[in-house]
Amino acid sequence: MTDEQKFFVHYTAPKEPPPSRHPPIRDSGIIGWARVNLFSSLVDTISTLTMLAILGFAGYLFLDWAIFKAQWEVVFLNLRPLGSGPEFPPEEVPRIELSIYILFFLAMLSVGFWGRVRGFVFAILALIAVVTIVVPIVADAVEEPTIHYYIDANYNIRQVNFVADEGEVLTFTLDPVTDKSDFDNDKLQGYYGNEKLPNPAMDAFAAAIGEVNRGAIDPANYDLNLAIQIWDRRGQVIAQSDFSQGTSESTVLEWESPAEDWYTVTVVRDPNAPGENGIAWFKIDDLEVFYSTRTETRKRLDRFGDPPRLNCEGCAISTNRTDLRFNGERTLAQWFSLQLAPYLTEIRMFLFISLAVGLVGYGFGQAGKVQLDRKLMSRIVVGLWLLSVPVQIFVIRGVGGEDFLPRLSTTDLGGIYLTILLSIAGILASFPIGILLALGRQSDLPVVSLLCTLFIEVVRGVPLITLLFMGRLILPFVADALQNADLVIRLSIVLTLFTAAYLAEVIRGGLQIVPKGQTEAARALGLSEVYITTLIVLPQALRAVIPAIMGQFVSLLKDTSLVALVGLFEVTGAMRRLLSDTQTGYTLFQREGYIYIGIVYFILCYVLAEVSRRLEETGAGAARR
Amino acid sequence: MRRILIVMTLLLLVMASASITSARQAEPGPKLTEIVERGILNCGVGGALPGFSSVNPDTNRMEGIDADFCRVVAAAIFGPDDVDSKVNFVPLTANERFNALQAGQVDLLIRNTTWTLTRDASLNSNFGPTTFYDSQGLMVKQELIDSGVQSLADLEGASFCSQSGTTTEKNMVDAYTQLFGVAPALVLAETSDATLRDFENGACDVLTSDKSQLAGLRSASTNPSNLVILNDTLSKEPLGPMYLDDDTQFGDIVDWAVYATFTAEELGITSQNIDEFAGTEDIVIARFLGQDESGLGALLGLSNTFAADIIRAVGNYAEIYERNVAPVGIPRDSSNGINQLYTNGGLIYAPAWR
Amino acid sequence: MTVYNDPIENRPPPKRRRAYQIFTPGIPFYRDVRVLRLVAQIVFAVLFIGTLAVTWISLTTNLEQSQIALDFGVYKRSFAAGLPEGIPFDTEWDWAGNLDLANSTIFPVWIVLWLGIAYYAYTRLRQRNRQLAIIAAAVIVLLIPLHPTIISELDKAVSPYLFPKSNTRAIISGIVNTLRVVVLSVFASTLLGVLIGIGLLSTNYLVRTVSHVYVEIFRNTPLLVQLVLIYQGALLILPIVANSMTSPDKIGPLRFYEKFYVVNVRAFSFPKLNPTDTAAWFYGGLIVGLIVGYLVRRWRIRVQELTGTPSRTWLFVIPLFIVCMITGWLIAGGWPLSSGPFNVEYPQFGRFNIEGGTQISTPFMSLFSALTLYTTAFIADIVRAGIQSVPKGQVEAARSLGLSGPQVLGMVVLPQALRLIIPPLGNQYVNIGKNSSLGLAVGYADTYQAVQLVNNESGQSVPLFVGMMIIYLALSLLFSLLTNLLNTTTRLRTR
Repeated sequence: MTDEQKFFVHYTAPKEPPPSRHPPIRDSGIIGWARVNLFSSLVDTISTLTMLAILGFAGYLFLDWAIFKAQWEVVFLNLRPLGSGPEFPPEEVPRIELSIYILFFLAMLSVGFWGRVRGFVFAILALIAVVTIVVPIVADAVEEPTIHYYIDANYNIRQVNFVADEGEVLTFTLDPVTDKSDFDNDKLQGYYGNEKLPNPAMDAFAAAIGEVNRGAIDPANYDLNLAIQIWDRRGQVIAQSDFSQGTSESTVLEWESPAEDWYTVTVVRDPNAPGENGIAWFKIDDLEVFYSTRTETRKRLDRFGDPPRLNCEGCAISTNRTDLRFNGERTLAQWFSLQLAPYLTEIRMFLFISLAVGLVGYGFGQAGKVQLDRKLMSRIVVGLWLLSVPVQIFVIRGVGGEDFLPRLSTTDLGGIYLTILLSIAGILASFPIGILLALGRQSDLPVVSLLCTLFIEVVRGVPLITLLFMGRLILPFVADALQNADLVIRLSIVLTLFTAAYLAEVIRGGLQIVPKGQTEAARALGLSEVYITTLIVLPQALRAVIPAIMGQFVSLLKDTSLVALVGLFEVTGAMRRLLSDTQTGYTLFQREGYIYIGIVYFILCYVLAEVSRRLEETGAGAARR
Repeated sequence: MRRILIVMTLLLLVMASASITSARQAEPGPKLTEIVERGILNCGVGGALPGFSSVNPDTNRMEGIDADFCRVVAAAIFGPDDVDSKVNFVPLTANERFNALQAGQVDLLIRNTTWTLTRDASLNSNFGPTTFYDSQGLMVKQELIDSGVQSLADLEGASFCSQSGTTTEKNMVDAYTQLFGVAPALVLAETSDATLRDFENGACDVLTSDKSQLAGLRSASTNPSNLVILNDTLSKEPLGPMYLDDDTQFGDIVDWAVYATFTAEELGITSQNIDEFAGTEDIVIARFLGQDESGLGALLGLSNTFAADIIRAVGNYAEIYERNVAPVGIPRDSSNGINQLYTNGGLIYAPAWR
Repeated sequence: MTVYNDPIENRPPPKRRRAYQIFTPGIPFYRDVRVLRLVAQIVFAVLFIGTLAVTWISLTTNLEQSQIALDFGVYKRSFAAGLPEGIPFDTEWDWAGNLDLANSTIFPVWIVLWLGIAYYAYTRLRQRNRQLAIIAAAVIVLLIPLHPTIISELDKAVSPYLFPKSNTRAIISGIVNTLRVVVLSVFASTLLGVLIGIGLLSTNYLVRTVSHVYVEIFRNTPLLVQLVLIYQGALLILPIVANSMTSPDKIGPLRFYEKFYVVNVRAFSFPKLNPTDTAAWFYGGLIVGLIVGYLVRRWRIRVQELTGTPSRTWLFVIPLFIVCMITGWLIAGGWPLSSGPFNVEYPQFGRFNIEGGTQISTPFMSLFSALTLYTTAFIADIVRAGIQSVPKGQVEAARSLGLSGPQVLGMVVLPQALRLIIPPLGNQYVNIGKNSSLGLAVGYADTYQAVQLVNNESGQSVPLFVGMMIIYLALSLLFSLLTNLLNTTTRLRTR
C-alpha cells in the first residue's frame, strides 16, 4: 500500500447501534434483596412460596379468631388477680406495685451502669406509650355495636340493665322477621356460637331456620303482641312502646333519658293476647357497652350507686356481667374500642410509672458511669440492691394493725408477682448451695465427690412436679418447723434445692474452663486452698458461666408455672382458677386466657434471654486471658 | 479447703439439729388450743361447686353448705361476731384433700366427702355427722334421652367423665363392670368444673357424680335445659365433715356443732327468731341456748352459749339448706325427703342435748 | 539453727521432737494433708448419712404418730379405680409361662442366642483378662439350664404384686403409657428439630425468620401453658363424635365402604392391623429384606471405594427391600389382597363411641404435641450450634470437590456436627422423660397420674413417691446410657 492508503484506515460506521447488553441483575434495593434472599434458586422459590402460603393461612385463621371472635374480657377484667394473686386484698395492691417499681428501678440502674441499651428499644417504648394514649381516645369515637336479642314465643328476654346520661337518646327496635329469605344460615355468620360454645339465642334462631326451611313455621304468620318497656331503678315502668298487635311492622321506641341513672329495659308480652307465632329481633342501638374493669366499675358505682336487682316473672335475674358478653358481629374498629382500649386503659398508669421509674434509673446509671469513680458506683449499686431486700420485705410484709401497713403473709401472694418472687428467691438462695455442690462434686476427696454427685444426679433425674408434691405432702412430716411453714416457703425450699443441683452442673462447667495454670501459679505463691478457690478460681468460673446462669434463671421462671398444679396461685394458677369459675362464665374462654399467659411469660423470658445474650457478647462469658 | 469444710460442717450440723429437735411430742396437743391461738380455722373445701362451696363473684365470699358448716364450727369456737374473718377456706382438689388433712394444712375437711369404711379406717381420720345424704347419679344431654337412653343399662360403650380420686370413679367402674363385664371408658379430670367442660365439649357422653354436684354443675353450664339427670342411683353418698382422729375433743366439737344446727331446727330456733328465746321458760330450749347452769359447752372446751352463737351467726340446718342447696335445684323433699328432719321422715337426727 | 552445707542425701534425718510426729515426721499430724483428707471425708460422710438417717427417723416417727405408718406393702393392695387408657390390668398376666421356652419352637434359637452372648462376652473381655473372660463365658453358658429355676423363683417373688387389678399392675400400665408418649416424642422432636435447625441456617430469609420465631416462642413459654392451651383448644375445636371428620365415602367414581380416619374430640382413629397366624412369614420377609439391604449397602460402598463408581446405594437397596417384603407377603397368603398376614380392623361408629381400630386419645395427642413442639425448639438450637461449629473450610473444600448441597450436608457437615450435638441432645431426651409427668394436667394416665390415684386411696405417700422417683431415675439413666453409647460411636478416635 502507499503511505496514503496506510494512513486512511477504512472504517465503515455501523448501520445500527450494537445490541445493548442487559444490566446485571439487581441485587440492591428491595427487589434485589428479595432476589437474593427469597428467590435465589428454584428450591428457594418453592420454599418461599410454601412458607408464605402456610403463614398466610395460619395467620388469617388466627387473626380472624383473635379479632372477630375471641373474647378477651377474661384478660382485661382480671388484671389485678393476675398481677398480684386472687387472694390478695385489693386495697393493698399499691404495695405490690411499689415493690415492682423498686425492683425495676434497680434493674435499670444496673443496666445503665453496667450495660447499654440500644436506641431502638427507646423507640419501641415510646411507640408503646403513644399507642396506649392514642387508642383509648380514638376508641371513644367508634360507634357502639348494636346489641341483638332474639325473641320468639318461647324465648324470654332477660332484662338489660344500662346506664344512661341525662338527655341521652337511645333507640330500641323490635323487628319482626317475616321474610323467609331472612332465615338463612348466612345470617348466623359472625355470631359466636357453635356446637361447643352454645349461644342459646343463636341456637334457637338456628332451630327456627330449620323449622322455617322445612315449612313447619311460616314466619309471615307473625302475631306476637310485644311491647318494649323501660323501668327505672325501682322497677316502675317509665316508658313503654305500643304493643305490636301482631303486625309485622317494627316497633320502635326512641327514648330520652330524664336523668343520669340506672335503667332497665325488657320486652313484655301482652298478657291478654300474647300471640303464638313469630320471631323478632330486639335491637338496641347506641347503647354503651361497658365492662366491669376496676376503673369503670368504680366510676360507675361512684356516680350511680349499685345496679338495680329486680325480679320479674319469667325473666332471669340479670347481673352486670352477662350483658357484657357481646355475642355478635364485631368490626375491626370495634375490636380496638371494645377489647384493646379497655386493656390499655387498665395498664396505662402502671406502664407509665414503670417507664418513668426505669428511665430515671437508667439515667442515674449512665450518669454514675460517667461522673463517679467506677468502684464507688459499683459499690453504690450493689449496696442499693442489698438494701432493697429488707425494704421490700418491709413493704410487702407490713407491720401489724389495720391502718398503715397491715400484716400480710406469703399465702396471700399470687399472680405474676409470686412468679417473679419465687424465681428470684430461688436463684439467689440456690447460689451458695450450688457453688458448694459444684466444688464438692469435683473435689478429689472420693467420699465427698460421690455423695455430691449422688445428690445432684438424683435431683436432676426426677421431674420437678414430683419434688413439688413431695414438698407439699411429705415435707411437713419431716420437721416440726416445716409443718407450720406455709406452702410458699416449703415450695421455695424445693425450688431452691432443685435449682442448686442444676446450677452445680453449670458451675462445674465453669470450673473446668479455668486453666490449670491459674491454680498452679496460686499454689506457687503460697496461697491456701480456700483463698485459691475464693479469690482465683471462683471469680473466673462464675464470670465464664454467667450466660448459662441466666439461662437457668429463665428456666426457673418457666418452671415456677408448675406450682400451679400444687396449689399456689402464681400467674398460671391464677388464670386456671379464673377459668374454672363457673359463675362468671369465663370457662368458655380458655384459649384467650392461656394465650395471654403465654405472652406474659414470653415477654419476661425473652427480655432475660436477650440480656443474657448481650452479656455473652460483651465478653462476660469468655474466660478472660 | 479447710474453711470450706468447716462451713459445710456447720451447715450440715444446723440441718441435723433442726431435724433432731423436731420429733413431735408424745401426746398430741389439743387442737382447740392451737386453733384458738391461731385465731383462724383452716377449713378445706372444694371451692368450685355451686351449692357446696363456691366463691360468689360479686361479694368474693365463699358460699355453700360446706362453707357454711365451716362457719358453724368457727362460730362454735370463736363466737358469733365476724365469723367470716375467722375461717380460712383452702380450696383442695379431690386428689389432694386427704393429704392436706393429714399434713395438717387444714384442721377440718368439709368437701362433700363420702363416708366410707376405707377412708374411716385407713386415713387415720374420722367423719362427723352426715350433713347431706346424697347418691351418685348420671347426667346426659337431651339428645341421648331423645335417642332412647333411660338408664345405665342403655349406656353400653359410652364414655364417662368423673373426677379423679373420688369414690365416684370407683363406683362407676364397679357398676359398669357389673352390668357389662368390662371396664368403662373413663375420662378423668382434676376438678369438677373441668369435668363439666369435658362433658360439654363432647369428650364424654355421661357425667357421673353425686346428684347434688350434678345439679350444681347443671346450673352452672351454658345450657342447663339441655342436660338431664337420670334416675339411676349408683351408690349411697353420705357427705359430711372429716377430721383427723388424733384429737377426740376436736372431733366432739365438730360433731356437736353440726348437731346444734339439727337440734335448732327441731326446736324451731332460727337466726331470725333466736332473740325471742332469751329468758325462755322451756327447759330444753334454755339448756340448748346455754341459758341454764348445765355448762354443756364447757365440757367441750367451748363457751356455754356456743349453740346460740352458731345459730346467730349461721342459722339452723333448714336455713343453711334453703340458702345454699335449694337454689341449685335440689329441694328439701327430693329423693324421698331423705334430707328432711327425722320428724318429717328424713335422716337428720341429733342425739340428746344434755 | 543448724545450717547444712552437705547435699541432701548426706544430711542426717530430722530428729523427732514430739510424740505426734511418729507417723509424720516434720509436721504435726493435724496439719498433714493425708490425715486431714481422711478425717474430712469421714466427717462429711457421717454428717451426710447422719442427716439422712435423722430425717428418715423423724419422718417415720411422725407418720406413725399420724397413724399412717410407712407400709411398702401398698404395692400389693388392690386398685379400685380405673385408668382412662393403657394396657388392661384386670386380666391374668402369666409372664412366666410366656417366658418358659423349653417347650416352644424357638428354643434352639434361644440357646444359640445365649451361646452367642457368651462368645461375645469372651471376645470382649479376653483382651483385659483372659481368666475373667473364660469365667464370664462359662457362667453365661451354665445359666442356660438354670433358666426355668430362675424364672420360677422370680415368679414366686413377684406374683403377690402382679395379680389382676393390683396397684403394681396399674402403675405398670402408667409406665407403659409414659414410655409410649416419650418414645414417640423423642423420634418426632428429633426429626422436627433437625429440620428446623437446618432451617435456622437457611439462606432463605423467610425460612430463617420463621424458624427463629418458632424457636423463640416455644423456648420462652412454659411447657405447662403450652400443654393446657393445646388441650383446651383441641377440646373446643374438635367436633363431637356425631360430627366426626371422617375419610370421604366417595372420591369421584371410587366408593369406600370403610373409614380410613376418624377425627373427633375424643380420639383420632385409624385402621389397625391385626396379625394373623401367617404374619410370621411377612415379618421374616422384612427381616430378610433388612439383612439383604445391609449386605448390599456394604457391597456398594466397597464398590465405590475400590472403583470410584457412585454407589447409588439406595437405588439397589430399596427395590430389593420391596421385593423381599412382597415375597414375604405373598408367602403369607397375601393373594388375593384381602387375606394375608394382617386383618385390617377399621374404626366403626358405635352407639356412643368409635369402636375398633387404633385410637389415639386427645390427651395423648395434646401431651405428645406439646412435648414435641417444646423440645423441638431446644433441639433446633442445638443442631444449629452443632452445624455452625463445623469449620467453614470443610464446607468450602467439599464444594470445591464438586459435592452438591445435600451431599455436603450429609457426608461432611453432619457427621462432624454430630459430635457436638449428641451430648446436649441426650440431655433433652432426659427432659422429655421428665416433662411427660405433666400428663396430670390433661388427664393422661401416665406414671405420675397412676401413682397419684393409688396415693388417694391409700394415703401412703412416701413409699409411692419413692417408687416413682426410682422409676423416673431409671428412665433418665436409660436415656443417659443411650446417649453415652451414641457418644462413643461418634467421638473422635484420638491416638
